[in-house]
Amino acid sequence: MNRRSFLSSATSAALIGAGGLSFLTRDAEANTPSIFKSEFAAAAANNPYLTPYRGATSDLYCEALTIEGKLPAALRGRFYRNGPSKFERGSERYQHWFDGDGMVQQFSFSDKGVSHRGRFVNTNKFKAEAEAGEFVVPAFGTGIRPKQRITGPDSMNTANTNAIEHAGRVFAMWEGGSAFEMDRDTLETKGAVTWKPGWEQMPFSAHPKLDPQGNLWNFGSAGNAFFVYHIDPTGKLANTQIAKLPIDRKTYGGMNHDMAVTERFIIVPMPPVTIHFDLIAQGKFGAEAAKVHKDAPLKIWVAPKDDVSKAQIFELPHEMVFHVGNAYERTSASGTEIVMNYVGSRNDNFLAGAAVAIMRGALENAGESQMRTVTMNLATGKASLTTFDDGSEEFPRLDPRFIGKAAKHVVTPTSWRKRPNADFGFHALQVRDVESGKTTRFDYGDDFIVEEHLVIARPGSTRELDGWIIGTAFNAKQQKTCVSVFDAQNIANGPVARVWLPYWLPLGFHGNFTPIQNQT
Amino acid sequence: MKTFAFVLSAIAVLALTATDVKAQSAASDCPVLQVTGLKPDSGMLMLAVYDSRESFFKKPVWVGGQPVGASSTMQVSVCNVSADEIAVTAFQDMNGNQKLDTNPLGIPTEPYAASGKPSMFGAPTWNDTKVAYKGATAPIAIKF
Ligand SMILES: [Fe+2]
Repeated sequence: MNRRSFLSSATSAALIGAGGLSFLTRDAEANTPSIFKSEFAAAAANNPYLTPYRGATSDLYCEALTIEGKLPAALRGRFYRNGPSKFERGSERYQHWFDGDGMVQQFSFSDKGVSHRGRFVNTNKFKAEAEAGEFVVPAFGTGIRPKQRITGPDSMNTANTNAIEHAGRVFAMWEGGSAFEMDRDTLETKGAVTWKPGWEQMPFSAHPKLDPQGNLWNFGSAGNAFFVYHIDPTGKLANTQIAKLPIDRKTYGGMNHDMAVTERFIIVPMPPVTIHFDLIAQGKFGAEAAKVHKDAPLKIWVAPKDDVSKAQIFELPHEMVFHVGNAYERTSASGTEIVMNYVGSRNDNFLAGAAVAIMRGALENAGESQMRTVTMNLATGKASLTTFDDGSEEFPRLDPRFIGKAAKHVVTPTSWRKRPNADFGFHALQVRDVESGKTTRFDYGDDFIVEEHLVIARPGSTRELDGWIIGTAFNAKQQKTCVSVFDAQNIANGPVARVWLPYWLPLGFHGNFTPIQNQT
Repeated sequence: MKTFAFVLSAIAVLALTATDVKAQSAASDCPVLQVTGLKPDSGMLMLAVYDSRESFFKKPVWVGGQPVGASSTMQVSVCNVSADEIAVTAFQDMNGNQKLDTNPLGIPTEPYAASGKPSMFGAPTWNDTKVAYKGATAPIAIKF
């Protein structure tokens, strides 16, 4: 890599992968964070589905949640979630859902029942803004004028996208900077994680993959610079790699969000997205600042885990991709193939549309997000695509024992009908057989917004989906959040148990479950 | 890479002159840099002074280095620079390798600062950081 000279201008460009930023006067006629605040307040007063977008105002704790039905005795462990949870300070409200500060939720399933703890990640940014009583640094989608010096991505890191426990350490993750470590028992923030000397503030993405052996694989990217992390089952850094991506930064590199691993390969979808921090700095937001290049193909980067410099890129028809389900390798007559499923959107209006509108309390169509299966032949360089277009779905997860192997099922929140006041959220859960395309579904009903659901293996079992599916949902009528527990092989009958918080939580993005075998 | 090589050599010079600089800091008739926000008892304060837009970040007219003691504040005199305006850049060399370390993306991993009103975002520029030198009566502030 280029070692830059002392504070060269290239250094500043590298800060968040953008060109020279000048904080010009905000366009007086633009919609400001203050206007967003008042518009959202007015809309939320009349729409109970918007409540979770108010955000949390303090850390939360509940010792014993109300249990409805019968919790499986063998379901024991810690269920973590993370998501943007603080949207307003002073007179301002963020203009993009992704901007809110992270808050890690931890549900502990033990012999005593279920307890909940929710704590804001005490990032450098959160600390500074809590003290100042106002936003002091720009966000991903809101041009807050900086009131303190930005010395790298971690000055703006909200640690708001995912949470995972690995080798006893809890990580709250963002996309552009360090993970933040939290104490497993108290969720107190310990600080930014530097995996090796000299790698301070390096991007550590929010979708690491935990393979069945317990290795944690992750990547980080900034423009066309790409980094790979391999953390062994004991939590030690086993290896890092650096690669330069052969992509045009005018069209790609703004949001490489998720990844898949197989036994030998790492796969990262690279949608044609650019984020224009120079325009955000001028108070621009939405489609002006986050560009999905409609004419450009989706690229899928495939590289051997042990040497990512030997990468191959496959091109697929244009679409936006955030999330990958799973990938595995198989041998065909014409060579090794990678089969991967992911959620794509050809008419995406989420990143620059709906995720902005919701912050002012407006409901905008996000476009359809659908499951695809792509088969990529490493010998011929050819790819073929299957689409499942029977509804809109997102946040795909699978049986953790089958990550990187030929899993047959993917679990997603889904929608197939409109709800006038809650069109931004899913109303159902489904398990899809990705070979036949067939789905099994459970409709939560009109009162719920359904979030990501995880598959939990039944201790001692080996068969795919032998276990449970658990996940959170917000109930707009009760203004409370619950965790539902399904028999993974029979979700259509509804949850076997539901655990209710006495309060609601902000809607989150992603989470993970750490099973505990021995109870104290 | 040319720039980088130069900065390295400038900083190497600076290490050799550290003792002299310390002696100079007692001088009373030269403008004084008032450096604040240092991490006490760690590494060296490294300073570079430039006298023009053209030479900024390329060719310092004065360099200095001094161990950071128990105080987070240090005063350093800058004598014998013939310029009306100067710009000062600084970093705290925590590991003693005499350069500002960066991560693989080029982001500094050691504390840095500059004179004047450095931009909140990214690298300082001559325009942001230049301050009066000749006849300066008040100390020149360098805030880490
Ligand atoms: Fe995500």
